[in-house]
Amino acid sequence: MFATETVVEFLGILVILVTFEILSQSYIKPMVNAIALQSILLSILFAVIGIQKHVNELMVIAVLTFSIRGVLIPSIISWDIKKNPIWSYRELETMVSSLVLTGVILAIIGYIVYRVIFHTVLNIRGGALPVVLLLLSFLIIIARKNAVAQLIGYISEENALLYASALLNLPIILEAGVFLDLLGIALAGIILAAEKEYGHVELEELVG
Amino acid sequence: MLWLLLFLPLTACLLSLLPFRRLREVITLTLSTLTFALSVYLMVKVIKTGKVAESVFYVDLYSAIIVLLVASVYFFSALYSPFYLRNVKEFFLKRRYYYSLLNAFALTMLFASLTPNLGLMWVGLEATTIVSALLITLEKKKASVEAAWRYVIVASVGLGFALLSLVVLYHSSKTLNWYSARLPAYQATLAATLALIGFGTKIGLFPMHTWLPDAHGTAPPPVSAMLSASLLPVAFLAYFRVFSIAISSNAHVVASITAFFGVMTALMAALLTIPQQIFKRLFAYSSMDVMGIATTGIALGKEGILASFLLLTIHGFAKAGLFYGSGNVMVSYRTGRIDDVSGLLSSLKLTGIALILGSLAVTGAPPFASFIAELVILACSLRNPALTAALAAAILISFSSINYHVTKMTFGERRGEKIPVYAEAIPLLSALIALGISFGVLGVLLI
Repeated sequence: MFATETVVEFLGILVILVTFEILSQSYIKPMVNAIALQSILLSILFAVIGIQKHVNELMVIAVLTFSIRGVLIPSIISWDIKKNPIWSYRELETMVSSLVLTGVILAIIGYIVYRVIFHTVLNIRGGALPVVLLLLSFLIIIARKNAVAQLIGYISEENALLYASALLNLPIILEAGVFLDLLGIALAGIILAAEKEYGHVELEELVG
Repeated sequence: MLWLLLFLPLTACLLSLLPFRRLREVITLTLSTLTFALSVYLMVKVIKTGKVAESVFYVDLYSAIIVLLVASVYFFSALYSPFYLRNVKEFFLKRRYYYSLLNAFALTMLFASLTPNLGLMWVGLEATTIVSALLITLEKKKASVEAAWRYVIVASVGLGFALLSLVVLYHSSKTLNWYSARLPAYQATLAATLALIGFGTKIGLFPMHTWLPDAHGTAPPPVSAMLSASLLPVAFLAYFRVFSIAISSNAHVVASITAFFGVMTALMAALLTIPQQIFKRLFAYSSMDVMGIATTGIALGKEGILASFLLLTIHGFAKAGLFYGSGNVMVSYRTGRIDDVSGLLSSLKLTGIALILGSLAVTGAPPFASFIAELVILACSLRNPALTAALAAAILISFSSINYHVTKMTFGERRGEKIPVYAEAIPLLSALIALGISFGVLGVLLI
């Protein structure tokens, strides 16, 4: 039991570090690789919790996380990046160094918020990690100026929500996972369709 | 019966994928009419028995009101869509998917209203985001794609908070059914506050409302009508359920937080109606204003809750009429700007009357029942004079501003082109239903 919880916590910390890697990038391609890695790490985490708690839904979520957010959506974005030269440009408007610093401060705030507000209610080991991941994902969505980076922020947010749901055995986790994935695919679809109709989507367009 | 309410739009959704244009229109109209009739029957049954519970569904008076709203606006949108689609110049979303998505939109909203499980309600609302975002991109306008993008991003952040709220709620009460969930006051406060942020984003509450004017303003009018008149109330119902759990769990501070955000939304929206230059955005801010007043209402006790749902009902029919009327004006005048429209009463007489009736109804003018509803909410707020003053200011500002803009459009010299009478009759019929319900309510109150 102790070993499993330690593995889950270790994977959670790796996920947070990978999220900082996303925050620190001003090019799109490394961000896509990092979000694929984050999703794959989380799929392992879901599988570990699923095996430990004997929850079949979590095993399905692990497979969905790996296949859709770990492989499918990153592949779609990578294919689009190769096709569209605008994505190879550096995002100059986003100040990466200050963004990482903001991320560190936000992570500390997230931990304090968890300890002060949520801990007495939820009281689970490693419960602060999804809260921190959620706040960092919001930061990616808010701070980034282009549609693909915001889509990556959305996938990270989805990962955070499913992470929290998995730790607390939320009964609708499977339904939530499926619909969140559908929304992610719809977002990727909007970017591709917009490019098809209007040509290359500028970096600053489709700001959320 | 409750399964049938979902089966009809589901069938329409699947059959609308067939490659026959006329068939898609007929199927959607026929099955939406049946859905509407069934929702009326459900309402009558709920009034008689108090609740209807079938397998996994549970409907009380509040759910029945929202189901009726969703089904009726679905029917009117199915009726209005053929006219508007014929006047769309270029499509971004392939035209053949429109009816399938419209039916799916109604299906997801009905599902969210019928289920007593807050988790499944969340899933239903998440599904509405996917479907309605695609519908917003129907017309080939860059603004529509940007609005859809902003909508999905902001709504997904909001729904993230809502899911967190459900995580807290389930962890403390071990159930997600709204009628049985009870939890300690601290946990209830936390869950309701997160739900206010989460579902509040979909309701259009300040400061999470940023997606609303863009999405409602750029969507095709039949979709704007469904977004404004039925989707916002469905999200409102979801928050109302969490709020009720919190209040019955003695988390009374939630009422103060809800009233604060409600009145701030109403005030902000009322102020934002003043500088509007595009009539669909004006009506979008009006929806935000009404949702703010209704949200304040639920925080003010039982009378406030009833008044809020009455307000939503009148607003639903009237606002749908305003959006269909907007579609007529856009087709006839080829503009969306208030300043470019005048003389509606002489060029599009029925549309002009519908806009006047609709704007009076949504701003709470007598004889509409929205007047009584707003009066009751104001009366309930008298214990807190600051709240009453802010609410009264919001109501007065939005009343003056919206009716001023609409009056500018309806009077003056004739400019627009003629459009078919049936297209003009739809917004008028919708506004007249709001008037009919108002007379019914007045009759009941007088008896």
